[in-house]
Amino acid sequence: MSVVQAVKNYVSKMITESEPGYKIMLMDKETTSFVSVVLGMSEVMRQEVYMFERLDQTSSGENMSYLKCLVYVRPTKENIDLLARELQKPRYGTYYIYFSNVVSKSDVKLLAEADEHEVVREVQELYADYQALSPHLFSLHMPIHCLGLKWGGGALQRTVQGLAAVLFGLQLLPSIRYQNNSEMARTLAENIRQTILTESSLYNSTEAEGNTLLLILDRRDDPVTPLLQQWTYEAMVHELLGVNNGRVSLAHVSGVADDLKEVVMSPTQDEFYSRSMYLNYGEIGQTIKDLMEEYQKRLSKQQKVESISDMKNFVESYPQFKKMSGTVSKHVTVVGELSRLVGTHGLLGISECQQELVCGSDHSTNLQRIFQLVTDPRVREVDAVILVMLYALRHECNPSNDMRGLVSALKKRNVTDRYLKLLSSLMDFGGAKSRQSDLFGTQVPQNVSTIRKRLFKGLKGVDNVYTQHKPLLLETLMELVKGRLREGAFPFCGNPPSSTTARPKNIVVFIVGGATYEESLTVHQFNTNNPGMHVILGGSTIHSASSFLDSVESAMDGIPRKALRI
Amino acid sequence: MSGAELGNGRDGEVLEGFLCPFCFLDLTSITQLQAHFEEQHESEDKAVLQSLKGFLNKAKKKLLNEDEPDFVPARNHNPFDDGAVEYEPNNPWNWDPPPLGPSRSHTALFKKIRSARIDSFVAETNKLLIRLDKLLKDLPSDPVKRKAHERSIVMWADDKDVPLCPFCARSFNLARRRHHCRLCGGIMCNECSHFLEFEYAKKLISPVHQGSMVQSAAVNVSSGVGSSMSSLFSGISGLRRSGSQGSLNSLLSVMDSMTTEQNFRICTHCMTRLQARDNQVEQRTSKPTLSMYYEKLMEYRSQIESLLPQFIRMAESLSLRDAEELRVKILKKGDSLNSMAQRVRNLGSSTGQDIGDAASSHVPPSGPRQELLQRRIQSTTTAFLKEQILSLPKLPTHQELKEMQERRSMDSRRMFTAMFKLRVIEYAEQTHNCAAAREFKVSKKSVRDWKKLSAQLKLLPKNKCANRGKCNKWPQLEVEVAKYVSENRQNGYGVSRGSIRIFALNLARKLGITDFKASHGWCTRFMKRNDFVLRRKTKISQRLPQELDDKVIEFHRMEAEARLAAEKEATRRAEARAAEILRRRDRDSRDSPRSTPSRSSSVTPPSFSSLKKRQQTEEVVVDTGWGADSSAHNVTETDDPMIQQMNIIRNYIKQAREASRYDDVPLLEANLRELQEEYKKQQRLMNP
Repeated sequence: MSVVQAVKNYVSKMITESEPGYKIMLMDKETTSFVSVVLGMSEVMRQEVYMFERLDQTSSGENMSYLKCLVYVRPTKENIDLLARELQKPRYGTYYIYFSNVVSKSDVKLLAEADEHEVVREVQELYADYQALSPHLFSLHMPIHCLGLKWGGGALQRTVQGLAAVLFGLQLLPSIRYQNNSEMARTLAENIRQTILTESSLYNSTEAEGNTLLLILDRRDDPVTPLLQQWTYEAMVHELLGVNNGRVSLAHVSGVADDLKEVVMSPTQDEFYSRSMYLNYGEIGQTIKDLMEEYQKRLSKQQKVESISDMKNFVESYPQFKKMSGTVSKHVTVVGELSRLVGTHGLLGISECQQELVCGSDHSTNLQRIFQLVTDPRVREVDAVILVMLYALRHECNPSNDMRGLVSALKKRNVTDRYLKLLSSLMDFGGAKSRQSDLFGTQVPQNVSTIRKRLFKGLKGVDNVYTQHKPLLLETLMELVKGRLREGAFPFCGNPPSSTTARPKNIVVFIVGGATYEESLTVHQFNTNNPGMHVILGGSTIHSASSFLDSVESAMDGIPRKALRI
Repeated sequence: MSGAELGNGRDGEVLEGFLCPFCFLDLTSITQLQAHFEEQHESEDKAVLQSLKGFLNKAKKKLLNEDEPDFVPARNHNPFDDGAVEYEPNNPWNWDPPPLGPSRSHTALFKKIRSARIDSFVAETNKLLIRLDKLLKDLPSDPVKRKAHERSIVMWADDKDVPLCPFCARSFNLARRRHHCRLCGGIMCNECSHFLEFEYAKKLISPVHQGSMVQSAAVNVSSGVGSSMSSLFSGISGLRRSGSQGSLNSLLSVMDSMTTEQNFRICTHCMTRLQARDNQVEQRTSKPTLSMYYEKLMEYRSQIESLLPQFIRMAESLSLRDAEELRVKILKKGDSLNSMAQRVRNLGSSTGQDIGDAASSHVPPSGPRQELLQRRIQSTTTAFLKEQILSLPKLPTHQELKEMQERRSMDSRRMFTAMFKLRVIEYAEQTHNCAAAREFKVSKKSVRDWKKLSAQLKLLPKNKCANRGKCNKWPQLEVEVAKYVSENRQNGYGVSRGSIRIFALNLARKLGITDFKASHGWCTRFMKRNDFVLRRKTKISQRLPQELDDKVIEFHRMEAEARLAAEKEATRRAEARAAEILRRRDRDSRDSPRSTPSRSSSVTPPSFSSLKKRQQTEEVVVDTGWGADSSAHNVTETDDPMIQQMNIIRNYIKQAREASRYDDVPLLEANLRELQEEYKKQQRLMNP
């Protein structure tokens, strides 16, 4: 069920099918990122693929006919045209063409007609059309998914393709449920269903209906999670430094060494990272400290090279040591930068306030605290705005809320117009009117189980003030597993499976409008705690607070604002 | 990935961990096992449940001294131990790898469409070639006769039918005259016509060319057409053979008489057809030097790859002599692989040509992308060597082996039954602690510890291993107290230790338990057993360790120092080397001006040892993220110390010139020349 492994399988299939010999890989922008997040460059080079080229950036006309060329591209119109042009003037000896998704017969014909030099050996379609970030997490790398609250141009098709590729690649034939109040989720569900029906020949068997489920959610139901400050290593790196295709740029960090200007932060390629990505901030500091101590111990051992046997030991342990020193300096730099940002922007205090606001219920103290933070010049503009946004979402229905006061405080700070606009856009995007779930647990509970659950919440006590919040997704998953997810809120697309008692074992959750690393962590914990269950999370993209705000901005573009007038 | 490998080794291993006694599910912690048990097996025998609970409580007491295993790896484990992650089958990283997903082949369809199109091209091209052959045969040298000859073979199109040039679509007039393609008879203007050199035409219809063409055609063309085609080709080659001598003679005579007209005028269309054919044949027959080198390289690599597991098996089974032999063999193979990689790297490279490398002199200089390819091949091979060969397990000597075994038996934590411990104690009392430790192969400390506990051990059942403290004496009472606590909490009342103890004491009185004191210790144990927490909200876990900042600064300083030291070392060595050469040169000139003493000793043989040395200065390649190769040509960084030194001396020369120290310049130049010579020698050694 691991999506990372599914993509890896496909890549190694491509490489092995073309027989030994040196090879070049010709990819487009997106497929490059698909491969590079799951495999290190040196790993691919070990398998005789030495060169990489972008189909849309073929600069050099140098003829290298002794090379075999593996083409791995998405089946888009532009790619087919570029490929046809390439085949008319082939620069390499033989071509093995793999499409990352279903390709139409007419496109194959177009290519066949272009191949006058008979260089093509293989034309196949695979189903690896997504970024597999972790075994249970995939992204379509599409930050802007919706325009004016409707599927943007081509976004629906891309989403259907990506999601279908996950289902095909893992041989999942699911029943589909979607969030009832979201028109986009419904459209997507129907399209997916249609695609699965037309491509049913891809499935070996038609069973697995009962225990597999595709659940399509909409980000609008939980606008809070992407706004909260996160404290796990993975989420912090993304929030504060920004992970792009598994890479983090540290070029802006002062005094950074040249080889650390851009570092890989991908759990598939960095073992230390994969082990520590879910650790909390404090724990990371401790781990890094241990790491450095260990390194220094080894270094002092290294420096004592006197006898012959010392020499021998040195040579033998050297590669491992070198690898370690690379790991250490990378993570020390990253954590150092994180801690600097946390310190200068006062993120601990902000986060505490955020968590109390979202999880607690004390209105007046929170309001005071927010006023204090919003007026504090040390707090970044964007953090101040996010605090007000969270307050607005949390206390939207509270008659005694003081939005007016907060907005005027923001204005006094000279917050840019964009943010003020965003504040009201967000209220339309994810305000109480556009949500169907009880996000803050403020509604009057409908049944006994919710009451009990709420009481139990307090029972175990809270360990950490900064990580009180649990995303809505967790609740949805728990209800789903217990078979209590209401059909009214999450109806089936098409007929519900006949045996409704069977609880799903394999669940693919897709969040229209992007997932977050907090949700990824939740799914990871959920999987670890529920043996036999496999939950995979996917999203249009993986959001940080700023990318989420961008997507809200474009989603609400051209929609008149109703909820909040400023 | 380690996750996948871990996932594979599940079958057949002894199951251990928190297993449910009914369904043998592995649950990761006690709490979960208990929850699972209560949820799934409620209907099962209550007695089993009770006994399980009792057992769990005991086990829990022991285990909870450590941290409850959470989903995160324990904080204090060594981050460098590979594969040290505990095996958690539910962790997504350890999920069973999925089988290869489906794929759909369009190759058959593609080939069908392609061959339908290609067949017509092939026929057309063949027609052109036959005509070309006929044209070349007995070509008259006189232009008028030649024209007649050309027209007798190819029907020329009528001038009237073609008012415009079909290629540039401009009208013909006095200045732009009509010309005929000699191969298809079509009309075009002068600007649009191509000229087919006789030499090139000869090459196109030469027997080598044809032979390979027949083969390829037989392969490519679908069966029905294939037979007729090949018969057609054999016809051509027959023709060729009979006429070759004649046409060659005529050609020569033409060349003698009129040097201007050694070509046929042909149209663009025919030209592309012929060129495409030529390229195709060229590709099938020629094989660049690089390919040959590379094949050899991969051969070595696969040999090493096949030898390695054999060696590791031997090393593990401790058949030391054979293993040593094999080790030497692998190292030798590594040497030749390394030198092969060097050769690939230097093939046609600019540095190689600079100093006139013998091996690459006949190879055309490679383009920037080929150079990149060569560099990548070399670096991958070096990485392979580093990983595979340098990390070959060291073979222990016999003595080490023995020590190792002993140490292992001492170190490993074993369990001893009470009976065994009593036997040890008895022996120790008869002799002394040391003797007992030696005799039973346990540490002295445990003997001492057991002696202290001897009274307790006597009370234990004989086969019990551990004395793990008290168990829950009043199960019924605790169940009641637990119920009280959770009820209170659910109703929103706070519960403190004090209230728990008071309630328990009252309850004990009610139940008639007399020896119950509701002590502080009992309360702690009770809360642990029932997983109650009276914690307050904390902020501590979010703080970074206090000394982290100092550590980071210290680390950076240390790193910078290491870098500086490495640089200093490198320059020092280079200078020392230059000085040595200077010295040697002086001595040479003093001793005998012409004779050159054998310098091979100073030249480091390009062997594996040099690779090892070089690693000390080489920066480690952290696997940085990657995309396509944006700019093909990067600045080549030489890592050969010789070239570095040459560069250093070149810099010296430049400096000397700038400082107008002209006396030094000739001396330094002589040094440079000498170095270059040595480098050449080294290269020759490397590429015999």
